[in-house]
Amino acid sequence: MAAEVELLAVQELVHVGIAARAEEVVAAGAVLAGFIGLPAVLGGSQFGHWLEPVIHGHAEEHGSAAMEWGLMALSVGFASFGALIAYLMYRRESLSPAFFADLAGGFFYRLFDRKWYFDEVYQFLFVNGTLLLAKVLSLFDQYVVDGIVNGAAGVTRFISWLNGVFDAYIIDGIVNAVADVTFWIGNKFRRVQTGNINSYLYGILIAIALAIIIKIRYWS
Amino acid sequence: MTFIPLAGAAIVLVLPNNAKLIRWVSAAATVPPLIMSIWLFANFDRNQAGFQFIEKYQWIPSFNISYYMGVDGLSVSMVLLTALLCFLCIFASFGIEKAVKGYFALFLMLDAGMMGVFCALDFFLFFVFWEVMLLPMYFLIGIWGGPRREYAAIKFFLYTLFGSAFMLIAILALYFSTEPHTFDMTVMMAQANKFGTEVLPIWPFKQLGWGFQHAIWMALFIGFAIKIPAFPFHTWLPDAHVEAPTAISVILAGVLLKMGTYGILRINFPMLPAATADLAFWCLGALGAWNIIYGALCAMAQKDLKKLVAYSSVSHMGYVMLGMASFTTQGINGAVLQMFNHGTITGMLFLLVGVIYDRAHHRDIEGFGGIAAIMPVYTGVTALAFFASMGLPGLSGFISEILVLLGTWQKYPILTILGASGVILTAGYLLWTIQRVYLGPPNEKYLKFPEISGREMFTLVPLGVIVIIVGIYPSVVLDMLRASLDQINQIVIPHL
Repeated sequence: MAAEVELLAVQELVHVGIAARAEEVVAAGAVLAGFIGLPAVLGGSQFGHWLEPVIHGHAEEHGSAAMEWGLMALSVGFASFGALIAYLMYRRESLSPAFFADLAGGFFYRLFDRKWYFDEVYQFLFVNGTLLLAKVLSLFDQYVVDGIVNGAAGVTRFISWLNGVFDAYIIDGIVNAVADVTFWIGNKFRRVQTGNINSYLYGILIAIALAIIIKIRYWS
Repeated sequence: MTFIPLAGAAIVLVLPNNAKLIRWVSAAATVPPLIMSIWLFANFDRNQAGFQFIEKYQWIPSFNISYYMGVDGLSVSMVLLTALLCFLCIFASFGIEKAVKGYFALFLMLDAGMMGVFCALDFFLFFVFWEVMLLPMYFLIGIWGGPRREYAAIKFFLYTLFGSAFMLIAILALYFSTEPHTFDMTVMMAQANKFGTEVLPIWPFKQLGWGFQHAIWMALFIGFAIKIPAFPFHTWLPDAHVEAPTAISVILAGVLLKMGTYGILRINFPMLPAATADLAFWCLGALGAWNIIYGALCAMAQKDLKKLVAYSSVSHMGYVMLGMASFTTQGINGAVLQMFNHGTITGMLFLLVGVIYDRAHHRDIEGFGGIAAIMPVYTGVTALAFFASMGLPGLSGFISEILVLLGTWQKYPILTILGASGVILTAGYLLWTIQRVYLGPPNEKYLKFPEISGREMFTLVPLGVIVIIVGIYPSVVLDMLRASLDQINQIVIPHL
């Protein structure tokens, strides 16, 4: 089975024109490699028995003889069919490859040529997906997480600015207000100093009168 | 070992302004710690799980603060890494032209701070050294860095300090919970079952089912998570790494990032075991797996080579977190081995980026091409570093990643699957980067680039050799770790 699958792969290489010598070597190797795992109906292989000490149990599964013959016929049939098509297309040139390539508007040809578009799907899903995730997280880190840090710094600076304003206008304001009130009271009391002896005598008279009244009223 | 670099810094400050003299004196100042750490490595008793080479003196008796330094398996590997990287980075810093004296003095102070953190066994001392690391880092990035250096430096500094504030609260909470009140870590570890786990009756602790121990664990974890860096506390890292000069990036990635996970293993695990057992799956395991994938995907989208390596650091530290969460021998040993390996591998990566930046003065990935044809030796070393970062078998990255994944598989298969898919993403962006930058037709602009110089090779070769040796015979490092890590693991496992 392995040998037949390898042969199909080799034919693919022929289609793209690899050097003949290389393909002969590979083909020979592929054919020989298949003999390692001969199916039971053709005599079985020693490989499984050789591995038995390591794998405790059977190295191979054995199906029914009919299944083994059927599988062999199927794989050989596919390989032979492929060999026949290749022979007809490129050796005898009775079939034209272009006809098959253009089948269904070239859809199948493109699909197989681009290997079922696996590369493009992988690139889009895994590569671009991971890179997109990386970009998103990096921006998140830079603007959101770091933004919170810088935001905390900004809030602290704002609070300290508020504190500064409070200190300058309110606390200092009270200090200045005390000074202003002192000045205002002093300003008012300044009026008493008239320099006029008549006013001073008048004041003394009023004070004595008040003193006598208070003494009579409250100290008996 | 901790204070010789500090003395070196003092000497450098008083030297005359001769750049060559300063450079070689600084190099000389890092050699004794390197020799001592190798001596430690050789004389460390691998079968003993406790702390060795202890130095303990009274410092501030009224608060029970002592000068308590000692190493166990976990510390020794980190000390070795620090000493080696500092020594090599002095040579990588030979390209600095501006204010050479200040640079090397600050660098040596940083060196002293880092050594101190890994050796300190008194919490107050630990915190002092932790903070000592921050200030030189701020200046080193802010003065000698790239175009956006002030922003990156202040961001790094304030972010880490914010975490340290939480750490300080936790330290004080632990101090007041011990009988008698002490900052001594070994005493705290011994009294671990005293830290209450009953649910606190206030919101939000009641809703979450958290006790006092969980609250402290969280406070410490926030401080350490900022350093690791764990998502979402990681955004200081790309900016700090891109703007820092080459040698500082190496130290940042190679040593400072390990401080976070070191802290979790040294403090969270042994002192707060019940909380660790409860919170590890989400805070360490799931977060670690997310780190791996998020870091790898963000790295893939980067156009700046240094930023790509920075995000790859985020990704690799995810493996450390994942391994720690598994509480299996393989997991935790793999995690610490990954810490060590990441230091060497990412150190190499940043040095290599520095090589190409020194020549081209840009780090645009699309702007390069075909460097392999122009600088083949450099490309060879780069390939080694990239493959090690990818976790190629035979190099050290593979051993640590596989240990982590093996350990985690036993507990959390889903997280392991996520972690393993991170390996694919890592290979994706690293190989793609190699293809874009090193392979392909050579870019005409860069045909005249000089090959990698002897000094640059000197900084890279020791790291490369270690990567290969640990990849083939990891017991060199794993033997040191096993006893101590198993003990730490055993403290937590009963609470699972």
